Amino acid sequence: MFVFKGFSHPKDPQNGVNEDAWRADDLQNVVVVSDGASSSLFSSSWSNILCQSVIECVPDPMDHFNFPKWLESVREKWINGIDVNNLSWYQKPKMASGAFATLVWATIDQSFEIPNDLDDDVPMDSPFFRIYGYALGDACFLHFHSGRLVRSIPVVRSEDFDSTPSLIGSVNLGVDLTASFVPIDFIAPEGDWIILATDAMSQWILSQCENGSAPDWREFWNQTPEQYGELVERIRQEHQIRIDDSTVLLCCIGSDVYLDREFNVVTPTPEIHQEDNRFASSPEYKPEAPAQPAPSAKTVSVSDVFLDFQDAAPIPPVPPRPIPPIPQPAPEPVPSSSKTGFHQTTEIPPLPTEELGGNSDFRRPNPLPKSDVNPANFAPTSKPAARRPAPAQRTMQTPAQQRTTSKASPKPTASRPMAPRRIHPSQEQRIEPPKSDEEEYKVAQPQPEDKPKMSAYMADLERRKREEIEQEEQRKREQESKFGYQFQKGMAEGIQDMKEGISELWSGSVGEQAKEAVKKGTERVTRFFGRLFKKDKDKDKE
Amino acid sequence: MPYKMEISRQNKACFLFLLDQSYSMCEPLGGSPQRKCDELCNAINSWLQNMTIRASGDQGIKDWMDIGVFGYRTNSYGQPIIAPVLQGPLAGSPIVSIRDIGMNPARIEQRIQYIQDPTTGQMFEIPNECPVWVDPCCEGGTPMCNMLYTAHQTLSAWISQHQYSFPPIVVHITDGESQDGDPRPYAQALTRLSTADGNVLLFNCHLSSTPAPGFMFPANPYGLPDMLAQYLYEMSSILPEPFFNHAVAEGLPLQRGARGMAFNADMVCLIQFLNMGTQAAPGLR
Repeated sequence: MFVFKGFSHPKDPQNGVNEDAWRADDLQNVVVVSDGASSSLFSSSWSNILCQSVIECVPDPMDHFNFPKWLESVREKWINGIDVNNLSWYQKPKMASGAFATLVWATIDQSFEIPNDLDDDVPMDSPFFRIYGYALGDACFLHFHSGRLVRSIPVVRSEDFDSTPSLIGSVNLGVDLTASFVPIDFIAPEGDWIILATDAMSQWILSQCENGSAPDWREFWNQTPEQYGELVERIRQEHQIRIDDSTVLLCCIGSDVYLDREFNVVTPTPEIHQEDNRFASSPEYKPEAPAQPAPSAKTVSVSDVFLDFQDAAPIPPVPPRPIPPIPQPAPEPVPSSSKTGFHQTTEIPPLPTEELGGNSDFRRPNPLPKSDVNPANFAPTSKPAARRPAPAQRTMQTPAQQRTTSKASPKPTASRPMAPRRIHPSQEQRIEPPKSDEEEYKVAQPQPEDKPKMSAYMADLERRKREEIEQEEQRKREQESKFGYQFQKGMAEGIQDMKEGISELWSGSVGEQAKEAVKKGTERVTRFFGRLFKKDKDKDKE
Repeated sequence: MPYKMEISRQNKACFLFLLDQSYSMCEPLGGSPQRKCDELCNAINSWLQNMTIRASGDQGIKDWMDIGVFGYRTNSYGQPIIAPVLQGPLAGSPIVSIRDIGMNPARIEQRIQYIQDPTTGQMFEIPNECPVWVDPCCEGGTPMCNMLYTAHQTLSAWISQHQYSFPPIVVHITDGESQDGDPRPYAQALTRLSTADGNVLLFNCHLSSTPAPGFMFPANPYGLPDMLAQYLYEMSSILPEPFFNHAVAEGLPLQRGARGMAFNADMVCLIQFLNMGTQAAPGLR
């Protein structure tokens, strides 16, 4: 599935303390890198415990139920490894906040999907691998294809590194870390390089890629830990890299055949590889595996199962070859039944078009007796069954017979010879085997499941009718209320006019104005009474 | 680009504190019942404690910085007394490493620290271990020029051994004027010292005797209250880019060209000044 090699060089080689950690596991197909924060206490053990815990149980930060449990178990491991009673005065204050570290991990699995954005240089027969995981902080995941940087997660540019990355703490300070995890998920072809690195090394790699001089990972692979340490020291002196613990984990993905050919390695015994932070660099991945590895000790991977299934014999290395042109299959005579798209085990002979009568809805006609072949049978009163004439109906007729027929039936459609009509494929697919009479009956009769539909339709009709009636009543009520309001208003005004007139009459000042007011009020009251009576009469009429 | 060197064990940092121990330091600090010398010693001891804790790790204390604490005063005859003020096993040492600082405090005092429970609001009394390296002292006058001259000699020797390190940072804390001459030429000579990463940085802090409003990091000399403030302004270094950015990130409204100076500082201002002036170096954040 993949080969890996890790390098780590401490910030201070003389002191030897390295707060970075990395692990890789052939069995779980997981690689992980962590960078302990220098300012925190026991960050070296924290980063190591984190890496080990990821290998033992790959967490899912998006799982809000199980991830906190996983994190708590890791924190317990950290605190259990510290003798709190023997801490110095300067260590005790730091214990409250605990240790901090960045973390990045990835799982490499065989993939049977092919990415859409596939490069042209990828062979068609290349196996593909799905790489997925998460990154937190500024420990980076880098993907290289053909010596080119394809993706960098979570930091994209070298200038984006700062001194305050997201960290995972060994003490629960109530900080929700879930949002800080950046997911990694993509599909890569065989031969791609997966690089996991802590911040200093990631920044250097990204700056090299930005300058157009991306590292040659094959050369990088071939160097020894001592050479790696010399490289880091040299670029530190040239101020190309920050003075910090520098860890990089190289992984080349591919099938076992490819890796055996390219790296001359034998699939090792499954075990967890880890570095010892006490020393300057981590042990190199040793290709000198047991000469005769036991079959049971071989790493069981998806690729193994797949290859074993395909061919038990050893597969020779397949050189990459250009993409062959896709062969176009020669058009074969396809029986008409196959056009329908049905998969049939027994071949049904094609029905003659004439027999179908040019209409796929027609049933197979019963052969008419020869006695029916008579012009008299084609009178206008003939049954519709005569629409499907037998071939015998197209026999030649004598001129006398033709005249008789034309008189009896001006349009003897059944007597016309029917030209074979071309069947549209959409119609052709509707061809079904002829049904028995019993089946026909079942189709014709309304099925029980149709009843609810009918009742629903009737209910809908009733509901609509009710709504219409209600709307009509509502409209009438509105009209009545409007009329009533005008009526009341007119009555009130008329009565007011009458009151004024009567009060003037009572006061003795009988004049034209009082008379006019009484008259006006009386008219208005009378008028509205009249309209009210008229309305009642209209109701009676209705 | 100066002031970019990462602080590490190979390229150690250097902090030099110059503490005024004249008699006027016996006066109470503005806004506080405590004497200025007491508050100053508390601030320095806290700074040393925090730096030691910050440098501590799994394997003890990381030896990534050197620290010198000098005091200056005069005796009854007016003779300047310029001497390291670290007490205990480190007494008399002009420059010591942070590892030695952490391992050799003069004493560790047990103090009660009050911490509030964030959920219940209840106050808890927590015994706290407070190491002490510097004790208060106030006597005589203010031989500032002599102090700057000694600082120049001390740092010249240190720089000769650490030519590629981050430049030394000198923090000078006083409450009055120089009584042995104009300190500006001595300050200029001190700030002309340099490593490959830049010149020595000199930050000056003036402690207030009155609760007058103070200010920090002025960008121009206009509006300074008196000649003492003017002198301190001219003696102070302009904040380099990392320090400026750090102060801005901490919320201080600074202008370009701000100098490492505080005037009429109270205790809060003093601690803030110490943090701003010493924690912006690369690798200390």
